[in-house]
Amino acid sequence: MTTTLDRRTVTGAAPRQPVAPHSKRTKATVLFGLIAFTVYSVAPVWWLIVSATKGQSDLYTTNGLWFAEFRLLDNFRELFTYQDGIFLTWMWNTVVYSFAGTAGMTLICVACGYGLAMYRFRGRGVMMGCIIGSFLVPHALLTIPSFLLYTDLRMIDTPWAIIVPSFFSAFSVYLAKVYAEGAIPHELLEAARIDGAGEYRMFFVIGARLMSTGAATIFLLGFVGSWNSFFGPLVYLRSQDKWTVMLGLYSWLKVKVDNSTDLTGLVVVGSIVSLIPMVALMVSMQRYWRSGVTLGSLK
Amino acid sequence: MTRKQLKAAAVTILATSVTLAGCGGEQPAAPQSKGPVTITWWSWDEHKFLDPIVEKFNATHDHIKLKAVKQTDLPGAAANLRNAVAAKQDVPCLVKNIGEVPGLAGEGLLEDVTEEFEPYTKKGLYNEPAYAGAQAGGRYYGVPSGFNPSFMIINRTVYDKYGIAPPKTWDELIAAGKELKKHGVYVMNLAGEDPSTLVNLTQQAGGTWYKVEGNTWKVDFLSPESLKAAEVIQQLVDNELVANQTYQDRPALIAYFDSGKMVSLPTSTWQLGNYELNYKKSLGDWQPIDLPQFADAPAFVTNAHGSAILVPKGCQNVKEAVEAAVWMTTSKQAVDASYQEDTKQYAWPGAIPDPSPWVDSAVPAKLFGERRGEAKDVILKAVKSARDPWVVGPNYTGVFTELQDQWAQIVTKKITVHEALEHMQKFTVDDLKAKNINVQG
Repeated sequence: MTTTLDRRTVTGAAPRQPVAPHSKRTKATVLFGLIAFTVYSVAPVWWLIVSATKGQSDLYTTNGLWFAEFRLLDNFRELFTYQDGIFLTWMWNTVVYSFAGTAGMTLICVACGYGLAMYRFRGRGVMMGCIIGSFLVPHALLTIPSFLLYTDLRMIDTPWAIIVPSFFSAFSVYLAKVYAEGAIPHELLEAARIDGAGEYRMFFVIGARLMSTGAATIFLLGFVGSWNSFFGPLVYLRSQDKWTVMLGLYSWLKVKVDNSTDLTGLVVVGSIVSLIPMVALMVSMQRYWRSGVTLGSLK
Repeated sequence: MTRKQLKAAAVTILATSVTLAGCGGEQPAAPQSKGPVTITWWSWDEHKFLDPIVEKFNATHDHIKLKAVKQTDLPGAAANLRNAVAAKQDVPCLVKNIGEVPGLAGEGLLEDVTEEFEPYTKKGLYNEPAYAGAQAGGRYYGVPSGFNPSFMIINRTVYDKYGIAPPKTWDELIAAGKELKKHGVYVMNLAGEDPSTLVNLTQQAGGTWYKVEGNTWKVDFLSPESLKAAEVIQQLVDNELVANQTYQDRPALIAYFDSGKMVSLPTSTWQLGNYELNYKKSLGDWQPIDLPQFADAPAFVTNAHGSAILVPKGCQNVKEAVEAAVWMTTSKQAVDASYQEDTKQYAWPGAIPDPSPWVDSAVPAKLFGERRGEAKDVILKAVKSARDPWVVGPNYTGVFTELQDQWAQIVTKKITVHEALEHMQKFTVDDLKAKNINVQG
């Protein structure tokens, strides 16, 4: 007697319910939702690209989502020559402030997060509480005290007023701490200690390297924030030649309020140019960015 | 961390802070006795407007040097000024007008420059209405920068088409509006967010909503002058004679003015270039005319409310600041230096008694067609007949915002102008009382 055994009897596994195929309506709804969301996300960028190719009068009188007379090169020429090329000065300032500030912030916050994650010391919990608590303090509340402090330090209207404050970011410390806890095994540090490595060497040779992906994420987030920051430069910088690109574009947009000069066309083209460094950075650091974000889900 | 490392860290931190402190901005300005005094001037105008004036000033003055610092815009300049005055460091000595002098002086932002400015009032440098804009409670807190003359431009082609004479009084304008309405044309535009027409008419009638008596503010939104202005607005709204195009969408607004569907614009010198630049169809159709008068006005009068170049509290060189500002607002050199090659226009010299040498440049070439020659007389008459009875109270910014809300309801016929004025009377008095300011009304 032969018995045919199917897998179910052999494995003793419970019968699996066949998965119902998605109904057409569900698929259509999801597809429609995704398409709508894509249009919603991409339309402003498309508008920006199209508007950058238009002259001042076409900007107002033609369809915003389609091309008119192609004036892109003229617009670029005007952008880079207006007021002796002040736009390029703003771009350069923003690059300097953002890189210097974010690089410093990354180093400080990664070290801080590493310290909080890897060492046990008195007051650690309180310190962590303060860091989490500082998320709750509205930035606007600190404007006047910060202004008075920087005035005393003679930092107003100098690049330091933008660079130094961006060295410190509570959220990045928290991110670094969480990342360090997941990425650096304590045993590895113990082994290094037994081998005679000093604490600094352990941080720079072992800790910092294992945290490089997290550090890249912190750098990227910090850079984006720094590049787009507006309120700090508005309050702490006085001279136009020290402004950031965001502040400069904002002031151009406001020109038409007071007189018949309208620089909106320059603002549109300038906005596109100001996006380029950010896009380049995003693309070049994509590898770190992706693995950094998905690291937790794969462990 | 070893003790050695701790020491090293402490030394590093100390060195960094010393370096940073050394890298800071300028030393606080102290009264300078040797060499030229530098006066910092904040403005949010583009450099192409500021630089020629600064260059001219510095070329013609040895003991004072002017330095322009561009601000982002009015709110940005106001925020920066408040911060600088609070910090008592690097306070600029001259700032473009960021608001009404009484409110700013009450806030403690401005320096009393009466002593330094008074001598200039005896030299006949300024026209009479200009002074009020720089004063609060009879004291000067800045240097008058004058006003733009008020007149009207009408689309004469449309007026002629329907056989209507240009209006000389507000009553005639209302009558013209009724006639034009039959043809689907509006006589004027009252934007729903801008109550300045009511303000201007009240000023023209010789009224003011605030007065100071001793140490008490008197508020009167229901004065005869104010009600006279209200009556004109009410008739325009009730008879549906006005368009309500918003100023927010400037291109659409200009296109509407250009269309011939709206035919009278109370305006001033600074706006003419903009119309010339953007009108496509109606260039040459427009005519400059005197501002319509109230029927019972004893003499021809136009409204004017001047502004000021402010001198902030904490300025270290008030005398030189005032001298520089007086030069900027009254000297021929300064006006000549303001010439812009691209627009072929000078900045309007609103503070001086006789602006006639610069009137021609303020009138664009094509807007008035063959009637361009009439503009000069209209503008000069508006300057000579300007009066500024307007006193601004310490809470005017908030009051104006409230008035904007009321105005939106007036033009949409939800409330009458009289009801709005009654509301404003109560609102303003209550607001001043809440701020512990002496008030009657």
